[in-house]
Amino acid sequence: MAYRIQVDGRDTEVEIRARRPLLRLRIGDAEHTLQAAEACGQQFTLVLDGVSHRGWRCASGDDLQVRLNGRTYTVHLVRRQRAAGTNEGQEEIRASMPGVVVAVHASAGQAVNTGDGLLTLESMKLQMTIVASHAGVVAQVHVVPEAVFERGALLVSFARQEGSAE
Amino acid sequence: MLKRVLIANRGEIACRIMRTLERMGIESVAVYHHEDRAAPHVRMATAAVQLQAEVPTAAYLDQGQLVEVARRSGADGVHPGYGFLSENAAFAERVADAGLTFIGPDAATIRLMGDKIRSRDFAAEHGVPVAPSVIAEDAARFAARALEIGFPLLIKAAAGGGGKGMRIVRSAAELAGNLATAAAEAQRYFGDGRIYAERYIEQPRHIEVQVLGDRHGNVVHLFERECSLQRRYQKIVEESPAPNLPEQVRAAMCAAAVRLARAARYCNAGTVEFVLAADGAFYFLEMNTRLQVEHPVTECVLGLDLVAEQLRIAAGEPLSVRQEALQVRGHAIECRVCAEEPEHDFRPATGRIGVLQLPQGPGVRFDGGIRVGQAVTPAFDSMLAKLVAHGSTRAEAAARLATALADLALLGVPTNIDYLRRVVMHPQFLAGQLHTGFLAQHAVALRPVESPAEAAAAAVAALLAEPAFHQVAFAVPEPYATIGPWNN
Repeated sequence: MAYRIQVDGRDTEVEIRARRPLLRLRIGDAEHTLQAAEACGQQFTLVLDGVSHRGWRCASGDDLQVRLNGRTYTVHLVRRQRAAGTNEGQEEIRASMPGVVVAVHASAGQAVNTGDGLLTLESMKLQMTIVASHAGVVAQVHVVPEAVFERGALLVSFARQEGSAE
Repeated sequence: MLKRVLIANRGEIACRIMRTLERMGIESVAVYHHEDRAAPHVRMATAAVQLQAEVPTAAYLDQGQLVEVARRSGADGVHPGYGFLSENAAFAERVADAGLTFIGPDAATIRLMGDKIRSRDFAAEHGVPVAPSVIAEDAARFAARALEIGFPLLIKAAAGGGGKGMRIVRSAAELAGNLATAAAEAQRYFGDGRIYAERYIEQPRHIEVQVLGDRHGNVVHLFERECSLQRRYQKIVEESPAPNLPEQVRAAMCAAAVRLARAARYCNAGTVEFVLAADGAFYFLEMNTRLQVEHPVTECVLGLDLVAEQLRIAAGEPLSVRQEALQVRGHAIECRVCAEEPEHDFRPATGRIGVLQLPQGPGVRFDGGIRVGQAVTPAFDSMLAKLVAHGSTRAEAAARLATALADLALLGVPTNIDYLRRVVMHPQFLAGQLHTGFLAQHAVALRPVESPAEAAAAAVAALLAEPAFHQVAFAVPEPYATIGPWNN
């Protein structure tokens, strides 16, 4: 699954491609391998793609400032689910990469709470559970177990809630 | 000498003054608003007294309370710092009337220099060049005077404000037509056809001369400072000496500043500000009757402590230096570290300081008054600290400053640190091609350069600080791997 972040105001996606033997991440269009990471208070060291970085990090409002090689990056973690390409009156979850459905945990009309599991998917030999990012009512589950889907496929849609801005 | 000095200020300048007081064996009294109760200037002082005021800035502007606190705390002197009451003649008077020593010039001098028109006339009377200008109703006489001023010429409605009806005339041939149009416009917009003209200065530089005068009639200049780099009409990078300044212009400016200070019987530290045209002509802007924010660059190149000189002068002692003995050594550049967002038109920012790591290294000076945990609020000025680098050459000072800016970690609030680093590394800055429009002219080149590998490392560093991500990446068994509320 992909996670949305902003680095210096620029939207980008981060996706865990592999966790072992080393953490492999896709950030935007590039793949990166994390060889080591250590933190001591606000100071950190990490080795990414063979390059060692030392720096400081600190919360600044809703953002995280990361000071690296004499430059401060502002990273914003987009926590709330965004309804990218929302259909009329609904919020939805789309696949950020191709994969196969392992299990379906929710059904149409079901009320779910934040963190409730909706689907278990497998992509690139990595299984992940898709959870509800906020409380709501499932309008429809668009996939069944064993279903193969492409990137961008509609997986789950929610009934729109009153007063929901996003 | 004074024994106990109250500092009617806060932040970095209060701390700066206290360092000198401590070195000279003089006690310090800090004042503070409730919001500043844990500020470094409060902790550094021999004694600290809280001021009562609803609005934080009002506390530091409450003359009656400050004088009363000074008296009750046993202070024999009051240092106003810069900003707040530093150029307030009434305050200087009240301090003196209370039998205390005001560390600055006397009230009459502050009053004279604080009045734009009187100070300009005073400067002109004493042979200090002022920008030539003319205002007239009679078109023929006006044209003759305008020709004397020379080109380019800025003409505008005498009654107008802002940029309305303003035009730049570049030759005598264009003058008559422009005057007629401007007069007609002025009549139409403002109901007043009078036209005002002044010498138009393209790419002006802002250069100032530091002076010191004592009660014994001695006046010296401490050479010049270049203060052309400004945003929102405020300086952000200053240096001494001014780069690419012809020696005869420097000498003429310094002589004019001394002439003005002598004529005013100036007593204490002051700064004469000039605007410099590309052809070497310079004109008096104003005189600041206080210590300047950028005074450290002068201290670095002369090996002087300006606050110590101020204290000596205020105590009636003669200057510790003679003009002939003053020699500029190397070059010093200062930049003002502000809580602001250069990418968003330098809008002031707020937050809480969470990381503060100061740069080390030869020739580096950090003048701050901030601490970890301190809230940066909209209550006060956005300047947090000053970073100064001194080197044997301008190139060395600039390189040291760039390194120091890279090494400075001040997190928890957006700052202009990285922007300042790009400024002092810009080729035109390094070439000394400075003017007041520099930052606007090079705005595009001063934007951050994309660095995808570094941005990725920053993203990873940020993600690893997020417990939910950390857990998914390293701890949770595969089938349950999910990122809690943090999914998309």
